[in-house]
Amino acid sequence: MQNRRFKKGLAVFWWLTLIFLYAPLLVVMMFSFNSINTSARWGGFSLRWYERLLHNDVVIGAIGHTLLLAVISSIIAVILGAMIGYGLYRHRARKLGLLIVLIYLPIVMPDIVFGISDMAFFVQINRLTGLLSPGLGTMVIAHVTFQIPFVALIVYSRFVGLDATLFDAAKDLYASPWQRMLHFILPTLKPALLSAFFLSFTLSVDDFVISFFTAGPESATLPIYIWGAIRRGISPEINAIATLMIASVALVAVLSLLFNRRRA
Amino acid sequence: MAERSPTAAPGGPFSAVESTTGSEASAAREASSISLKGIRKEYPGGVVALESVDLDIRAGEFFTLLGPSGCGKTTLLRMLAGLDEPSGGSLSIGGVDVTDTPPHKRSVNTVFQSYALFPHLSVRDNIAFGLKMRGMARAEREQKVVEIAEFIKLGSLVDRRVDQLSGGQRQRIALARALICEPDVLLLDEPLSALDAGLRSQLQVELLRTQKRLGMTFVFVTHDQEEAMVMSDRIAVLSDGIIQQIGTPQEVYERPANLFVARFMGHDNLFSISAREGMTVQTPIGALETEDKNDGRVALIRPETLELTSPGAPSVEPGKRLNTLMCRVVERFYRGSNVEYRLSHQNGEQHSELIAEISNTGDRLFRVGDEVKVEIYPEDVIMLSDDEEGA
Amino acid sequence: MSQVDVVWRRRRRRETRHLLVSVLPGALWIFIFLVLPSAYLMSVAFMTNGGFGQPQMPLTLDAFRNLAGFGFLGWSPGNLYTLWRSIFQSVISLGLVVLVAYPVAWYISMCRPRLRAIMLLAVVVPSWTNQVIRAFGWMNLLSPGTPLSTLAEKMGLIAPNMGLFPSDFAVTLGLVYNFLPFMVLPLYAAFEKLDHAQIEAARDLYASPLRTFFVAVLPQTLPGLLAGSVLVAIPAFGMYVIPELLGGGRSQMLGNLVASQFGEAANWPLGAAGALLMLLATLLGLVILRRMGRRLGGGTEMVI
Repeated sequence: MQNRRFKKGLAVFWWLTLIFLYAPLLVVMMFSFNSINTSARWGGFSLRWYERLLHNDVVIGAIGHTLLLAVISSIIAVILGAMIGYGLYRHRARKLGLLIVLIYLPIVMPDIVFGISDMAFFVQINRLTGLLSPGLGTMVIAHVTFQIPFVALIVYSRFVGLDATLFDAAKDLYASPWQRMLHFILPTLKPALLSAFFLSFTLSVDDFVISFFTAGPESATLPIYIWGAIRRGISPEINAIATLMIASVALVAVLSLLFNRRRA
Repeated sequence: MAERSPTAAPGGPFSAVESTTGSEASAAREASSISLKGIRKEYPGGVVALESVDLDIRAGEFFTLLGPSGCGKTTLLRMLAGLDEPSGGSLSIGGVDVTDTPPHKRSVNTVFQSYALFPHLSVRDNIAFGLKMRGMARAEREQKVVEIAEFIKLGSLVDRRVDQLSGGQRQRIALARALICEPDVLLLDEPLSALDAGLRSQLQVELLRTQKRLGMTFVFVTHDQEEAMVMSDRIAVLSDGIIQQIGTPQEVYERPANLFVARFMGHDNLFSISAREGMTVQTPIGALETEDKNDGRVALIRPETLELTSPGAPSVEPGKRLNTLMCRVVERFYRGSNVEYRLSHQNGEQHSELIAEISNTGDRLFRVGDEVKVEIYPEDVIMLSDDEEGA
Repeated sequence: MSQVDVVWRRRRRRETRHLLVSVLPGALWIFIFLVLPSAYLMSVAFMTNGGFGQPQMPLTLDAFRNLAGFGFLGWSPGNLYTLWRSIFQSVISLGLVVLVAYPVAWYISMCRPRLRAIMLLAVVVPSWTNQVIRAFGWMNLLSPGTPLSTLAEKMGLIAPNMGLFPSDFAVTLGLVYNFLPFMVLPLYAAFEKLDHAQIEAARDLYASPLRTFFVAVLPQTLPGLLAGSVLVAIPAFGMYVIPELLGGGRSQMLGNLVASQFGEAANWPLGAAGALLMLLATLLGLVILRRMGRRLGGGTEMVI
């Protein structure tokens, strides 16, 4: 009996925790439809903040930057990361310790150190050579750097889950090295590559700190815009942008999950 | 060689109907022979997987590499496929040296132990994979798939997804995928070992019939001596990277070259020889007459060659001088078609055990505890060299 | 050298070339755009501040002296307070995270397997949204005039019209919210492997539920707890966004100190010295994780 009461207590705690986890997001979403300019009181349903967003060129620009940054960096990261994942798999019998440390580095590095290192580095390079002036380019560079490891790990684990004789079978069935890449490795990897792309995309959209330090004056993304807007004062308009971001990230994450599930 | 050549229909070897227009397809293909000279496989640090293998496999032969795991049989097979490089020696298929030819340029196909069907492709595309890599047009590929499906009786399997297939079905798809390429040689790496016994013997028969119909050279790897005997024209028994014996199943079974082969073929009744004088050898079960002129350290008497009679009965062949022993039945295993007796024999202080396998012809069976007279023909006492390099 | 060795050496060289072709572009990318920059930043920590925030020669340890509070005007405790607050906040939030995550992970492990995956997902999903937005959500909830703030006012916990935000309390709350999944996942992995026979045995022998917990349950989940602690405390120590948004000027942590040195405070060497400190803390965390890696058996890999 004691046991059942204990479990019931835990269940109550679980639901409280869920409220704790989702309350801030729900509040943001709810007040994005509030008709009055406060998050302290509910004044009725309205879409006025969304309408206002549509006419805000800065926000539209920021959405564009965010998507552009996420797409470009994800494409580069998927290519480079997949190559690393393949190399790691093909040569997994070797001692690759240093390489693995290098690949894990972007994951474990505190993002403030990551962002500031890149900023300081880019500033110096820019001063010496005129290259790498802060903007979308430097942001892409930084994002690719932290996306590569995740792609490499996804691709690597897909390969590890594969019957190793498939590689032999492809050779045995007259596939030349290029044909093996085109007709065996890439098609087999397709679900993993898609899921890696979605994860990279999510990571890019989610990132604030690294973007913040590598961004230029003309390349603010949505999180940077929100950051700036918050510092000027809370406004329901931010609620609307944030709601759009929550919805889109959730959508992409669910898509990625579905791809992963179908693979398994 | 000539009588094994395939008599293929004009539409290719798999076409079920006589085609009158199939002039573009191959004419009757000659099967290919394989020749290995001094093939070695050595890893850095002096680990030797194969020690100078010389082997000639005839065209159209069903040839089996038999041995325990780690004996080098799979390494040898992978070298034939080109998936492993030999450290030395040369290899030719159909008279052409292919030692340095990469696997995708060898007209050799393999049925893998795990079948290795591509998970991203349908069954149909799996079967056609090799043809596609060779650049065959889609329409022609599809025609070939229809033919092979007919030939191996795949029925509706070609329309399934790979993950919907059972083990036996996968095996047949893997076979179809390899055969459709019409290779010079087909390699089979323990293709039946993952299947249960009933299915296994059924597929053994199917595989053998397929090989005979095509007249193609098959090289088969297995660790199961019964499977090897059922299927092969000839067998090579391997151990520790060395070929111990090459011969027909009958030769390998009845005249094993050495103790290793005898043990691996499942023989009991092995008796060490302490002395030899002319055609008489001293063993723990007493002096035995033999007709084997070879020198050996161990005598093998196959259980099915023993003759059992009651102690007072006349000799089974009165005119001939047979080895005669008195034994007692310790255990009896009734198997329907034959009966196995475990016999104990006392030779002074020496106690030995013999096994006799008597085919069941409806005679009275001996009972446990019975005393029996065992007679052994001198030609059934076979000398084996003790050391395994006496091949 | 034997023929065999020559063949193998040639083959190995071929494979090395293949390895380099596949791995080098990505590895170089990380090296050039992360390893070099952070090495540069570390070197800045040993340079002199050049007035406009630009590091100059000669090499000194001034930045570290600065970090410890010694400046032009003599010693001031400001920086040390910030350091202390970083440690204090990460320890307090770690403790709270454990208090929340432990029962949650336990409960998830008690549910049906099919349900568990969904429950874990429910815990992780909020962390997929942007950090800034999550902090913003709490600003909405805690600012003056909101129900929570009013309640706190009525209970006399805060001064009238102050709101729960900005404050140290809001920062702690934000940290707990942010890092909860990092503790739930490794703890859940530990609970999943829980040996229930031990609990039954303990209950037979000791009877008291509390003793049972300390003798049979806690020791078994300790590896997960330790792994989670590293995953929470170390990143919390270097947190930037949450103290910046939810704390006022007096709730700054090390991350904010570092960032401000590259912005308005314009003292790159001092900022770099702070960054170096953060890296050292991370390194320490990794060493601890690695030490426990074998006992843990993959619990940490679930955390992204």
